[in-house]
Amino acid sequence: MGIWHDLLFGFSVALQPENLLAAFLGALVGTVVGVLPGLGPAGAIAILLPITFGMNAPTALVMLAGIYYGSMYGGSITSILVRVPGEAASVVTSLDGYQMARQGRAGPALAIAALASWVAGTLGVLALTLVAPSLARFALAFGPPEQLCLAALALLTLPTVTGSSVAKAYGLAALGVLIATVGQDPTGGLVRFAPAAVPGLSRGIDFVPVVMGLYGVAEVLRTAEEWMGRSRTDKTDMMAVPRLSRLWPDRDDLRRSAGPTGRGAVIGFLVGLLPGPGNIVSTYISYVLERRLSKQPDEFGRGAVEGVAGPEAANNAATAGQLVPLLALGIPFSSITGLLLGGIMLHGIVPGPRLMSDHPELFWGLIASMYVGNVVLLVLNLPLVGLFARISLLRPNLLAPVVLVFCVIGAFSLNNSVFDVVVLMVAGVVGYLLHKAGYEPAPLVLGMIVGPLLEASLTQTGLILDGQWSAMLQRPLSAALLGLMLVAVLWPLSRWLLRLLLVREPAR
Amino acid sequence: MSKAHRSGPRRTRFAVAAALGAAIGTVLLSAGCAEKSDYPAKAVKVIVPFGPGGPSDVNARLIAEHAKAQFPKGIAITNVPGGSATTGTYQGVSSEPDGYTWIYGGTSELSSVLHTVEAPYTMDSYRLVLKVGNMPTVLLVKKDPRWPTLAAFIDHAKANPGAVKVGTPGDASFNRLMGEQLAAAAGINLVMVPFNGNAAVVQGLLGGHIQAGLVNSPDARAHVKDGSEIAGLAVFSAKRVASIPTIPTTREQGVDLVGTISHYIAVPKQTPDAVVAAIEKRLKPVLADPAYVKAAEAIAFEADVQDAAVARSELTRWYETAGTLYGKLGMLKKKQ
Repeated sequence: MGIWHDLLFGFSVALQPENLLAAFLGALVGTVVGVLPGLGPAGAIAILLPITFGMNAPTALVMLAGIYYGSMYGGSITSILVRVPGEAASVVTSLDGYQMARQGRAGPALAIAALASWVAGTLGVLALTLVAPSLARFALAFGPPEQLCLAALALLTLPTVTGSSVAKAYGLAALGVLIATVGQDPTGGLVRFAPAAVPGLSRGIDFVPVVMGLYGVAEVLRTAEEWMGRSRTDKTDMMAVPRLSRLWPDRDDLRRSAGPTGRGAVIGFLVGLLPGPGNIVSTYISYVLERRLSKQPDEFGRGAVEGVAGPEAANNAATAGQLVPLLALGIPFSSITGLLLGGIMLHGIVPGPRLMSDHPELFWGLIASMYVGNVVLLVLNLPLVGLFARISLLRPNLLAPVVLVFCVIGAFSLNNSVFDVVVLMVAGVVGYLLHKAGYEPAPLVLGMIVGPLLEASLTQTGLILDGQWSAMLQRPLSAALLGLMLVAVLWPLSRWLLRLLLVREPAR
Repeated sequence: MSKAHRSGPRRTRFAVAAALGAAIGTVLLSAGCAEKSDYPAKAVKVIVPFGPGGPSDVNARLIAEHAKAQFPKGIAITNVPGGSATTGTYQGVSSEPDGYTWIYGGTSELSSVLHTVEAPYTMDSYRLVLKVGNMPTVLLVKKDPRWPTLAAFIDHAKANPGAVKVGTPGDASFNRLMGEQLAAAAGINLVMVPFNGNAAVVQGLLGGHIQAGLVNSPDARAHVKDGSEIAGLAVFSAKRVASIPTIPTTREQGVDLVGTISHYIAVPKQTPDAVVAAIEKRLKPVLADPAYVKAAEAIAFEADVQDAAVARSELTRWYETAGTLYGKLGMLKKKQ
């Protein structure tokens, strides 16, 4: 009874005209930010945070949170249409979403992404409403040793995301981790691998221009190569494809998406709870899981609708999960929730464990506004599907330069720095070469994102446990995670051995 | 005309010199006056070398908000984060020295960070206008009957060398150096565990992964309210901080060690004296405004206005102390 009463009170806050407007504006800005490559939710919140100084605290928080979850909707759009992930949480979406668009199924891909986002976003808020305080306690149990295990487990199980060569996948993930070590170390000590001759390096290599380069610029280069390699008649062929088969998902698409959406929502919310970039990592987990569960795993990477629904559900549910520690304890577990904390602090409110009792209008108002905001986003995104889907019909010789320009602007806008544009271009060439050699770059992005977490938690664990690594076995959570890692290694190994034996017997 | 000629070259020369002198004098005087009376003729840009939402940013915005009467053209906050706050600080020190770009800098980026980070400026690249205030270091612990006070905490650490893990907001952070000083002063062995920022320290503390944490007063304030699992054992300042009055000072508990990250207003080195004086004159009443002081107190920022000379000596002293400490830790940047 209590919760519903509180939630009703929250709606009375969220439905006030100015807060309703704030939720709408936040969702709109979030969508735009998600669509535009480069400027991600963190950047947009940072830019708009000062504007909220003049607003009421709940209004400000409602708008800033709207930008965050709105960007998770928008991020999928360019991933699907032009293979430029609007932000890192939609890298995985591009794997199958872009293939769907190339087959003329941009409409269903976009619609499924929006629907999965809405369902999972709403489920995530529901979970946030019901279980926030108790889950926050659980999340705190993940200290540095557990984070170390999580990071290692992610690097152990997730690089095989696309199911291509295992060696290639792990090689790329390792390269990603190495790239992430350039610049200042994650616990604020010294600067590494940054010769004074290259001034931009001391800040480290941002993964946003890398992602845009590996995907967007590389795709432009591939298109250009294909274009120039063709004779005049062939060029008209290339311009003719693809045709939109239909705009809306059919019954089969919806049926196939239901399971991945539900599972994605659960994964996203739980991973979002934990310290670190949960909204990104959860998309990889969802994708790998769906491919394992699928009866036709070969379809993944070739336009499987499950590969769009699952990750899109995961990243939206993760935003709700990431709000749990912030709202229940006043502690941000990620950089974006850190910015939201700043948005609250700007109004002289220092959120702590008593936020819910001291400022119920803030706590319940935000939660109620997220139900509203998710509906707003669905209403905003579905009618645009038809318009956006037509982008995939543009001739490649017109589309490619536009994509390139947007990537360059996006990279430059990150820090107003030409260095990021150079990173974009280098990543573009690398991405192009990787494709030629049969590599899919998603594991590299994973390595860059998990790398800093791995490094920081390794340092901290060593200090906390006095270098006695075996002590990790005495902590129930880290011991369990180590067990999982063992299973993850032994399972494919035993299957391989088994197959080796079985194949040998009946064959001869 | 011929008369004038006849009256002798000496007089003429004198007249010319006098006229020139007067002209120069007038120009100088009027320039001086102009700067004094006209300032501020346009909006002031304040560079905060951190992203929005942190204590530096929030406090700079509070000042801008309360300065509307003294700076009618407005004060615009610009966040330039990155490079351990050296990126924004450098942008500030290398801007036009006309008094319309200020740096809202903290203790670290104005002094000690120059020991560990390669930065294109020195402590001589800026001049200080005023010190704004403090956010002292606070020693937090997860509540434990074994260490209700700083003395008990020190005794515990003495009896169990290396067993007490203390979270700090970063390997090279101000609070880490305070921790090293505390360990040295008390003759104890504390293991410093670096986290990424104050919030992560509190997170580790609440989860019970570390026994103590060194954070700054704004982050301490949210988590030491009654009923919390976290207690503040000591605030590293000479007197208690108004917004967290239950936390005793180090000196009260017999440890003579104080330390605070302070905030300062600085301008590029070449900014003329008259302009600096004009800024100081207009800014002082803003920082003394009880409404501002109260708003700053809400985020546990302690107003403490000091003039440029005091500010400079504070920073110089900390620069030297930090140099010694970083040297002992082997963290000094390599000479190039």
